[in-house]
Amino acid sequence: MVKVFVNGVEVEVDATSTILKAAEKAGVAIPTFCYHPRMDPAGSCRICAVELEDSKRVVMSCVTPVAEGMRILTESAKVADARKTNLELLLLHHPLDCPVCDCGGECPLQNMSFAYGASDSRFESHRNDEVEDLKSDVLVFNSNRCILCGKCVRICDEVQDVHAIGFINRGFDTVIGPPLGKKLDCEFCGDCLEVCPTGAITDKFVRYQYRPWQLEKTKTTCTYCASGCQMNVETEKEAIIRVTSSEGEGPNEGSICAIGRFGFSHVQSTERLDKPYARSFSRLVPTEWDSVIPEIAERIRKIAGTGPDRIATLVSPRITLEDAYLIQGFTRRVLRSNFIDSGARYGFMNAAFPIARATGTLRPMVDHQDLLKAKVILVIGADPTAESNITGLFLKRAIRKEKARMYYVGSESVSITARAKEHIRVLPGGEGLFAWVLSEEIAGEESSRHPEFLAKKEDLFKSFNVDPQAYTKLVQDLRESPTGVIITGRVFHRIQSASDAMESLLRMTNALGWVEKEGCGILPLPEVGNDLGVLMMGATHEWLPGLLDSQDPENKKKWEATWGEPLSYGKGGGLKEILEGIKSGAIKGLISFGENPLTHFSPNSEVREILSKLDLLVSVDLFQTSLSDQAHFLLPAASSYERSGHVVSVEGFVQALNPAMTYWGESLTDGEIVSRLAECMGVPFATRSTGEVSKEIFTLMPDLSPSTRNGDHFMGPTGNLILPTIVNQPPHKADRKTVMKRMASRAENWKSAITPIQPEIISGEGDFVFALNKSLFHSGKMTLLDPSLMKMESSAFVRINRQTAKKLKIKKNENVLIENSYGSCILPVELTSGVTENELQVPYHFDSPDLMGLFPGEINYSGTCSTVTMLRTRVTLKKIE
Amino acid sequence: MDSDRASGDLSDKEIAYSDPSASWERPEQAVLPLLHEAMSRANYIREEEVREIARKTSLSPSDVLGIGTFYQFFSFHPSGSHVIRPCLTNPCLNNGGKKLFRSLSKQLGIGIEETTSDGLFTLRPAQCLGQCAEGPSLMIDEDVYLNVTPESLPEILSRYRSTSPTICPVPSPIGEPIRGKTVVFNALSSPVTLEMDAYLEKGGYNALKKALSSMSPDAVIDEIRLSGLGGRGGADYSTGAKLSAVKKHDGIKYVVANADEGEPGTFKDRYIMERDPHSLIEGMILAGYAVGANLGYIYLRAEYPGSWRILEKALSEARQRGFLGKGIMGSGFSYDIRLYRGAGAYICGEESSLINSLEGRRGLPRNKPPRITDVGLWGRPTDVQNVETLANLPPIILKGGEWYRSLGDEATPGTKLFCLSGHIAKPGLYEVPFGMSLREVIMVLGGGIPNGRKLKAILPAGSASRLLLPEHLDISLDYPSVTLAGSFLGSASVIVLDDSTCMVDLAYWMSAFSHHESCGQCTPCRDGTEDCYEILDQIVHGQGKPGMFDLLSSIGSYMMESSICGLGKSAPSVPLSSLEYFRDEWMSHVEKHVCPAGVCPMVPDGDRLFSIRRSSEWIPEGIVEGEGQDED
Repeated sequence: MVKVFVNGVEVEVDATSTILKAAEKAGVAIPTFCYHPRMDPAGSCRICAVELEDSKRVVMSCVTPVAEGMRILTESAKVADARKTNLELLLLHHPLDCPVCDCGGECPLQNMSFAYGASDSRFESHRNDEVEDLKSDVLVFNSNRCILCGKCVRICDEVQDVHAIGFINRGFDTVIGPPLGKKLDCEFCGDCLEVCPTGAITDKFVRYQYRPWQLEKTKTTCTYCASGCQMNVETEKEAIIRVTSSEGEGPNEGSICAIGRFGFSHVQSTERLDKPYARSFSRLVPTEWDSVIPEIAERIRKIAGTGPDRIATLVSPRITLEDAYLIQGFTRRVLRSNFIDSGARYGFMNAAFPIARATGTLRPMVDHQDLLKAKVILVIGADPTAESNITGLFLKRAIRKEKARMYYVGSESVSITARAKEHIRVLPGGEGLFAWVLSEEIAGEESSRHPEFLAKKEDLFKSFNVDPQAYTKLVQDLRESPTGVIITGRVFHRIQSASDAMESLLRMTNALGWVEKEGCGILPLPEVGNDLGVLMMGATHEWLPGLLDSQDPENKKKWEATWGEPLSYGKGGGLKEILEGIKSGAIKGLISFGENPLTHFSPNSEVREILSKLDLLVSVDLFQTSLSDQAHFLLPAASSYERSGHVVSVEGFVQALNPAMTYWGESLTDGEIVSRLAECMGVPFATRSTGEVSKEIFTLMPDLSPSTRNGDHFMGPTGNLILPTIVNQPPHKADRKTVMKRMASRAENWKSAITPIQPEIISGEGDFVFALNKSLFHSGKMTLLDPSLMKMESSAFVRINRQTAKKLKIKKNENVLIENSYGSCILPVELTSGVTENELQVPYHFDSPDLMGLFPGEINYSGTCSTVTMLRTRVTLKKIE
Repeated sequence: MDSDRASGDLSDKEIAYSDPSASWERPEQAVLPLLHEAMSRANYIREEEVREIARKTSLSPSDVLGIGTFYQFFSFHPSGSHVIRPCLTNPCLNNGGKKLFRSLSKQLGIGIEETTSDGLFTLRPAQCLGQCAEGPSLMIDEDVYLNVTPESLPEILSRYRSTSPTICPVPSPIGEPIRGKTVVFNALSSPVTLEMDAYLEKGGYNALKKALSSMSPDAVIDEIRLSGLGGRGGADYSTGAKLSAVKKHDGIKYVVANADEGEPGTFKDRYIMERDPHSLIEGMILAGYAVGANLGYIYLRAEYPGSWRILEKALSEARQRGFLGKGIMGSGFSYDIRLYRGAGAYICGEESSLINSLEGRRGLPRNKPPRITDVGLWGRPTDVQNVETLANLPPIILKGGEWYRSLGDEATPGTKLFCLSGHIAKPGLYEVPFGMSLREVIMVLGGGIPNGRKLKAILPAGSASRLLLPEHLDISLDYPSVTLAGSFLGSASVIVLDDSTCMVDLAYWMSAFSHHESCGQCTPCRDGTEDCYEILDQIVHGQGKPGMFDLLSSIGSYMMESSICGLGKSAPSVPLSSLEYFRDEWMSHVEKHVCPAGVCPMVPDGDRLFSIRRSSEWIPEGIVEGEGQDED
């Protein structure tokens, strides 16, 4: 530590600090253009000049380290003069088009010119007058307004690691933009837009449509994926204009992905349901809440009156903790049913269930900070950038800056595979076997290994093309590294043996000694914003709120005492049992909160037919969906931009949603709908406003109290950034001591070798494996209604291997016929080296009936949790002549 | 997204490269060699080549283009079969270069960055070809022509119009040998390259033999320290101290020879590389031995294709004879040297820019600290030394530090290569012991001012130095004395100006040079050079106003105070010292709108020679927007 004086104020700072950081500690704001806390200092804008009192020298505070006794002046006459000249130089050629510039009013260049009075110009020269680059649908590049601070290029390189834009030319002729004079082709995260201190990069979707000071900002949490991004939803007259972020704030530290930043327009489209609808004869007709609630209540009473477990509920994992808590309460208390399930059943449950069983918690063992400390990172069946964008950013940072060794296990290449130390390609179907072999190798002693171990390992190398050398390197690295993290994702969670494979990984972490070691563990990526929270709230038949076994009488008693009433639900079940129950006639009613089971099954399946047997089908949604065709009632739901409440992030943070606009039309939240129904049925909930429910949840489950990272953030007087204070509020991660206890008892089952996982048998026939994957530009299906995101990716395409295409003489954008005995579809192709030769990849969001028709009609429930995981099917591929 | 970048796989549509990427330390280091190679095919780089290079170097197309467009020698526009690069910098411009350029432009019917209609020639600017004593000069492809006149042009051009041009068959030194007496640099008197056998005959590699057999690395550094040798690139920082600063670190270290001699008026390093390449190589090996490096780089500017060929040959000779490679001369010391070619960027003479360029990046200077001796190439301690400095090491080791120290004066020991150019009777290279007077150098060695003209001013270190006046003629030429006289000895590139020179015109062209060469990273230099240039452009075109002087001074002093590197700090030297010493001449330009020397155009639409601005539009013809996003 060294002592320095900033404007006479003594502060003690780390000897490696820069002057800028010392000033920040002293509470002194120094203006900056090119400085950015998440990037290496560039020291290029020269606006952060300060004077050293002793030598009278002017130095740049962002790149100059402190020295003992240094006396720093941040606002001396010399400094003011330097800044004034700097601004004068910038403003000589910068166009004075502030009145028509989207940045006007929130422009650091404008603010700083105001602060330092560089308004009069001593020289008339040309104003930059290049034409704007309007080629991109998303961003406009105006090189005239650019002051070449380079933050956009650096954030694209250093934080996003995408390298889509760069400096072109040198000297005064330098401009910034995409290469080769082409249209911008990138991940469209918009981070460059966010960090641009002028109007050089602007948002094309809302160009000329707002003035920043007229926008009302609401801080809220994005619910698309589980990264838990903190964002500012900016509205004007109840309409969302744009989404921005505050540098350093939240787990996302100011970055937001394409979906979060640009994907909000669909919630304010005319397609939104604005009224409740009731089926009258064969038509859905608009009605009023006052009539529809009693009507539904009456029909529920009729069905539920015949006994417990007669009505089922389905819950979208995008709703808040509060809504999920109310829905499960409504289901168990009012409907007396334990037939409750959520979208987690389509995959994530395969990770959640074994983890909760082994560790007793769904709070993650590791968070993004642990990724930065990990020496080895194993990513298996996941595309972190697409599935949990911020996890992807931290992973990239861990590799680039912290030199973590990342092993990527999967058949396909995703954006991060190029950065892997080893990309271990496992042909589709071998992932479960891989997890078992790896776990058996690490957990088992040579003598006690399963007798089939060597044969299975050989099978992995021979039948699934795993490179033995890469595999051996991984084994060695896992064994020897002091710290490590395993990231699992959508593909891994959706393989048929996923729950067993996850169990294998748990066993392996236990054997590696990772359970005891802080910073080590598994980080499963949820598919949707609140997968974790919805499960924690018991919106699943297995668990009551708090992950308590729903069939355990002791647990039942606990909640009976809390709710002050007896619970008389039955055994219940998940999606499988619900569909079987409806088919057998045991279940007569289904209320779906934002879920549409139809899209998750093949049109050849009997699901539609099964649902038609219902006496009561209620669909609560933002839009009309294929489920609406069968629904008796269609109720409008408020979107996540209109709600309050909390959601749980991939890292375990419990963060708040704040309404940025009032409810669309007459829509209501799921919680309000069930509260009204409960009241109408004569069993009113004691707590019903979101605030009251939050309080109840946090009182009963104090570990779920709100938490976040980087909560504080503030701006200096000249619009410059002051470093956010790092706050890591209540523990968001699993408590290791408790986990160790639970794991020790679970580990009893792992002492002897566990049964090998069989390679997956993929349905269908043909040389190709057709797989559905997650896109960077869509989240679920709702975003297909978003005009902005549709500009980034507008239709389904199939990614095929370059070599395969060459063999079959298929060119880019040509249509191919994909076929098996179940069905066929025609799609345009995109060529890549990123998938194995016999693999076809299609973004799952565009899962039209003909695409889903490639899957067998017979429903295949897999694993311990009876999940439905439409992931892949075998097909033939033909060029259309 | 470019899905291939994600996978790192190579396309099946490989372009047949000899694959220079294989031999570099890191894939991205191959970017400049690959860009050069692409240039050699068609004088410009095509889109598919950008993508191919991106794949080979694990960079994105955006990265490759960012790097490519930084350097003057890379072009992304379709070009003619031959590229002509006339030197458009002082002193060439002052010695008939303007007339030559106009004639060239007229004879070809094209301006800068244009191609003749027959597709034969493209005209591109060069910023000092390092042939200043024999200017005006120009370069066609890789051939350099000296003392070119409008009259000799047609014959030169006709050689390239024939279908089978046979030009520049053997690598040999360009131009006249060193003039006058030599002490250290005797080999430079020879009209031919001192190749291995001849070098050995004159005692070559004996210093290395001595060091490896009987001296510890510390002893080598001590000897160099004793000699008082300082950096001959111009900073005069103690070579011994620099070597110690690198040596003190453990692990991988590097020696880099800065052969990016780009200062207008400077050509001394070229003389060493072309006439006595082994002295540089031996010096580098000695430096490597002293600091404990096993790899050295010569970062050579693209304007010196002759030096490239000679050095390539010399390095292979040295490898064959076992002076480079494993266990040199039976010792435990292993060392190799690689040649890395710059691509037309003056800024890369600045050591941290050079390191960035050598890492295959845009040549932007780094903020210091950390120093390059601590954090240099690939983050490792690096000893960056000027070619002349390194060439001094073998004689110092052989004859001793005391001997070398005795050659100069008290203030600066040793000798220095002086490049004399401009209005002087005997321009050329001279070896001058420090302490000689400026008068002796100009009037005696250089033969004084020709054509009965009078001496008006002197630039002792090219564009980077402030002017000296005739009244300074008696100063002693050593680093402190020149600094005391308000200037800077630098690399001792003495440009002599007689009374036919317009000092505003001089400032104008020097500011054009700085503007062209500013890397654009920091605001003071990027915008400062632009504005200085624009102010001067208005003044020489009769649009000047007296208020501009204050503005020029304040911009200039801001640049000197706040720029990242020496370029921005020294760019205002010529304009500001010219304004200070020749204010009357400047006043005449802005008040009477008269150029007393009759040099400046003084009318708004006066001949601008060429437009200084590069195009930000780079889209090659024939490519329709939106197409070809992918190579498929």
